[in-house]
Amino acid sequence: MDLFEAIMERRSVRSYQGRPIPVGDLERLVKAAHWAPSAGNINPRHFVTVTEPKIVEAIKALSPGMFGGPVAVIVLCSDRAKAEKRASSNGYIYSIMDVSMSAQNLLLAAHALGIGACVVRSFHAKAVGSLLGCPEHVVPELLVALGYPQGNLGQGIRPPLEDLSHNERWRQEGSSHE
Amino acid sequence: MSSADLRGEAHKLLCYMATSARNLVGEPPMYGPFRLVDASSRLIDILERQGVDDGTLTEARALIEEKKYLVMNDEDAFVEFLDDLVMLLARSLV
Repeated sequence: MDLFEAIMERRSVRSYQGRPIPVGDLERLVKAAHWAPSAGNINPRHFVTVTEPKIVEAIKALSPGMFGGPVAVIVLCSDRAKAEKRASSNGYIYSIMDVSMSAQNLLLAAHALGIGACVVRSFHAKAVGSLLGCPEHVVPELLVALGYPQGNLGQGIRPPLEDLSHNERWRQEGSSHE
Repeated sequence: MSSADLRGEAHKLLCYMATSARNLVGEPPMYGPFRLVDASSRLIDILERQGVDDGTLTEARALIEEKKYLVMNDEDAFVEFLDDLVMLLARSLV
């Protein structure tokens, strides 16, 4: 799969078939997430893969942003203590950037494997962390719900790029400068 | 559905609602109505599985599932859908 096509084709998937995802594919997704860039090379990330239906259901109950019936969830966590130790006051920001970059790798890798995915931030981090037995300094930051897509992927909508893209300098409204 | 199953389903819905309440403190304002109609759909789903359905509820759930994601890219259409939903439910009050 061409990378640029994958970027343009990928959509958030919120409706899934019940078919399980092979363990090997889940491991490939985690590996893709692991190989994302790390700000300051502090690598404060952890990945918890959940496929047990009861736990997936429990996570879903604590995640208003999760829809449909995913068969797996990968929980992207940051080790806040490690991040703070290695990057002091920037540690939290660095770890959020790391988790976000990991999530994007994971989403594209899932798309390449024909697996639907949706990244979720609307969940209760403390409750999910407790459910998974995470130590207090390890905080779930993002969830990625996974499953084979059910139905059409839908149309991606973005604001016009010309309103957001600037060359060399900030283009002001009404200015001829590009 | 057994009473234990019903309790489990109700518990999950309550978790969803309580988490929504907590998270809405810092989320986009339009997520509030979105969560409320989504919770309505989840409640109707539980009622249906309990055999409680007067047709209107099923129609309301179908409407919610069809239109709720409008909140992400067409807020005006989402608000219009909320009006339609209220009118649909109001018609069966008396």
